[in-house]
Amino acid sequence: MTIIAVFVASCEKNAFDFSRFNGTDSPSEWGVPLADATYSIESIVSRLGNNSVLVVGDDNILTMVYNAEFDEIVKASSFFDFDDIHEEGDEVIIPGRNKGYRDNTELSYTVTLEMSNPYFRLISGVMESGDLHMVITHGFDIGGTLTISSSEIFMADETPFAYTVDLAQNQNDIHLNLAGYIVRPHDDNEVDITVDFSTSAQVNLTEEKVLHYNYTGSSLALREADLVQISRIAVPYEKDMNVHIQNGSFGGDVIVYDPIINISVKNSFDKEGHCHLSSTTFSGGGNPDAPLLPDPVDIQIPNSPYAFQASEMSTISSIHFYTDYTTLHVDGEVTVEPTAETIHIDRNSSISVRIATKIPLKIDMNDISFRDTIQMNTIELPSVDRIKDLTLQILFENDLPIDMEAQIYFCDANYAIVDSAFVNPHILQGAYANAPVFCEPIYIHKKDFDEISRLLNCDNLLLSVKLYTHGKVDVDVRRYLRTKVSAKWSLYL
Amino acid sequence: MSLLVSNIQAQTSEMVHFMRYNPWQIYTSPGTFAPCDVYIALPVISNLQAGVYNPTFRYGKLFEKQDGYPTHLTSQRFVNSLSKRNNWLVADFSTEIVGFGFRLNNLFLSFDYRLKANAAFSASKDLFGMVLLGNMAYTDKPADINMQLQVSAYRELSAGAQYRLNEHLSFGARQKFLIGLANINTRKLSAEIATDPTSYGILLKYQVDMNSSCVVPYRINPNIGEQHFELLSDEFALGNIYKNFGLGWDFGVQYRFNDHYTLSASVLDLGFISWKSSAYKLSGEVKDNGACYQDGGFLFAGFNEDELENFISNDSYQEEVVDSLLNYFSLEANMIKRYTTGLNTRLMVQFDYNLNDKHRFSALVQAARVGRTLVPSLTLAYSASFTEWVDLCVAYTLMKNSYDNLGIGLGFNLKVVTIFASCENIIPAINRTRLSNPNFQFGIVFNWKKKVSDSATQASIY
Repeated sequence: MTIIAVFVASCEKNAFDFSRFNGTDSPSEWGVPLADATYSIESIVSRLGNNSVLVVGDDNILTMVYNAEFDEIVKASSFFDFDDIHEEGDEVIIPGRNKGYRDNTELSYTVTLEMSNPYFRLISGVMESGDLHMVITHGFDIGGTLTISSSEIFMADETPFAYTVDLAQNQNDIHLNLAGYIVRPHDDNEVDITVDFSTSAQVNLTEEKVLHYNYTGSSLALREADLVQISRIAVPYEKDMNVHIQNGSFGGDVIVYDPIINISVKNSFDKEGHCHLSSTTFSGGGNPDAPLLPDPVDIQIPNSPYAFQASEMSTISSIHFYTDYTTLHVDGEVTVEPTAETIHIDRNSSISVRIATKIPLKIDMNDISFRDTIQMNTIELPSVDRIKDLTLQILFENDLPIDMEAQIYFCDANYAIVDSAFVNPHILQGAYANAPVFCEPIYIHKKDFDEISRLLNCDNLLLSVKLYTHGKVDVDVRRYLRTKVSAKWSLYL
Repeated sequence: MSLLVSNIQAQTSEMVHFMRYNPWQIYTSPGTFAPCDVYIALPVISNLQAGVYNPTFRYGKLFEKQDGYPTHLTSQRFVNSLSKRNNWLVADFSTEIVGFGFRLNNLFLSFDYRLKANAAFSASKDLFGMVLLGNMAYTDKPADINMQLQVSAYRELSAGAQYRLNEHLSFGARQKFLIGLANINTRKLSAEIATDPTSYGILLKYQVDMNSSCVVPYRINPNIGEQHFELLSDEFALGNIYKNFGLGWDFGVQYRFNDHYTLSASVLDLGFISWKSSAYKLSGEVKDNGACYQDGGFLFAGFNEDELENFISNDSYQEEVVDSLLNYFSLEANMIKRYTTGLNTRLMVQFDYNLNDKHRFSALVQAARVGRTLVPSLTLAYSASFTEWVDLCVAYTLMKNSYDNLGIGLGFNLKVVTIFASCENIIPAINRTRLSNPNFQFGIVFNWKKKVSDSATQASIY
């Protein structure tokens, strides 16, 4: 028994000497999901923030919309202003032979308000504003009376305008506000105002008496008016819009199908007009121009005082759209032809034109490339030398009708590529049958510790993607690309 | 009120149970008439027992050796060796503070005051599997992790009586008054971790429901990043010592067919302790706190597009993400008025064959509740009394996952003193790599008895 015990004891004398202990005999295997990210077109658009160019249409197709707005391109207020006036002069009484006292001494002059408007003849109008300032200086020893009147200006009750004021001996300031008065020029666009002066008592005319006047008229404008258009109005318009697609990391060209041009007009001018759209053209980047209209178009602008009336233009069915286009140029002219009838408009009456150029994602892409760099944060990971191997698994669920050729590069701080995720760029088939395509898992398997170390310590990720379609596709914003990334590693404890 | 287990004991048989002249056998066999007329136990030295029950961590299953040196931890082999739900590691300790007993004709009365402490930890196989094999070993079915942690320390004041009705039948009982010192008791400590085989998405569910109590006030704060435990010694009051009160009972009966055959049965440690002193309830489960809450658990399927963007580009976001994820995991500690734990009850049935007055063969079947588990065992023992003053006992115990429990006990019965020592598993003494259930018991107990020629005493001893 003792011999057996000694034998057994000698067999296990080193059993608790762990100097040769080297962890577990087989590694533990761990797997964790890293990402489950779904990128729909809609979410990408919302990620771009406040971008007025990208709009989701009613048909859920993402659409680039470029708006050229020419609000109040023709506006009544530009025809409703009278010219400012400023005139200064003297009226003189010479004694002559009848020196001595004289009764009822009178002087008179005329002030003319003129509306220099080649397009309309004013029939009748209500003044929005109008300041008339007169400074009268006279050399009479006594005071007098000044009467300002016009047969072409009426008060609201149709009483002809008349204003009388007593003048003091020397300088007199007279302010008249014409707001609310009705003007009815006789034949032309001029309104005459007569100013009469008479003394209040006998004047001793032993020498010349001078009445000096200085009058100023400003802010003379109509609120509303009856007018007859006497000549053609033609207002040209043009606008260059920044296309804003090319950003250095995105390039290529694409055929865009069915671009849309909408012209919306609003007209409170009490008569019809016309909008002539000469061209809508993408240009820039050294690429051939891409006009959207086969020919200039002309549309009628009907009376529509409260809401825009939209018209859709016929466009070229497809254009070759280069992502480095810089400008969308729109130009044309709005016209209103003269007619004999009298129109009634107010100073807010106007004609507005808005031209919306829409490029929906009904496209055929060929070799569109996208590159983006993602700076990596330092993530504390277990000691690499305990890791036997590391496998990244990437799953794609592609609902986009677009083929993708993707590669991920691992870069150092100087953006030098140290490794790539795939031996060759990975091809991701598009979902052309309106059902998502589930791709076979992609495994990035690293067994070498140096490789793992390089991966874990990379400073930047460079994502490179090329996009293709097989013919025309409509890209619904609800369609998506979902990716699941998970990591599996074996670890010796 | 459900009674929960607090008292775990090493489950091999105490060797003194089979030692014919040892007075302490009345403690594990209340129906057996005491083999002495009077005994007196002194603090510590009269009965000191400590043991570990370890059917889980076996050297041979854990390590691979080369040239006698351990070189590797054999993960798969070790995990395969474990039982599905309960892999125990149990330790217990007890000592006599003071005790005495005496005979009054056919009645033997005894009084004892003991200190007992025990701790038990059990975990399901999948806990070790997760740590050693990784979560990818659990893609076909979830890792089912269950744990039990039960720690108790208490004092036991008991009064026992054995009565010999005639030369065939004797029976006895012991009333125990229990005063708890400290306790940790898990009602539920479980987790389920499922890993999706394709995406490796992880679904975690867990439940925590456990109680704790201590006569020294303390504070538990489960909040992450804060001090979790603080002992408030200054707030200790003497009255706390008597707050955790419990009762326990032992019952036993022995029937002696003739000079050769004896059958005895006993129930030990029926009872409970009501814990009131600084009683805490610690509970927690996954909270519905956002998109990651699914099916009652926390599902991590990977960072979504927004989180991913922030995670990569925003340094501070990493902490935010961790904080937001931690919000799913709740753990609350609330003071409660009381909770009750049950004692670990043991049922024992023993058959003895007395070859003659020197040699006895015994077979003991017992079922002991350990935690929420019933642990059966079979012990075969041989005891020899070559003279009146020497007790020798050898026992082999067979338990689930533990088949190498060979114990030995030796006692010397001097004039008024019995000195004994026992070890329930001597194999570790020979081969440390087979260390499974190390245990020892030692004592010097003073006792007096009449001559063995007295037929009554003789009968009881046999």
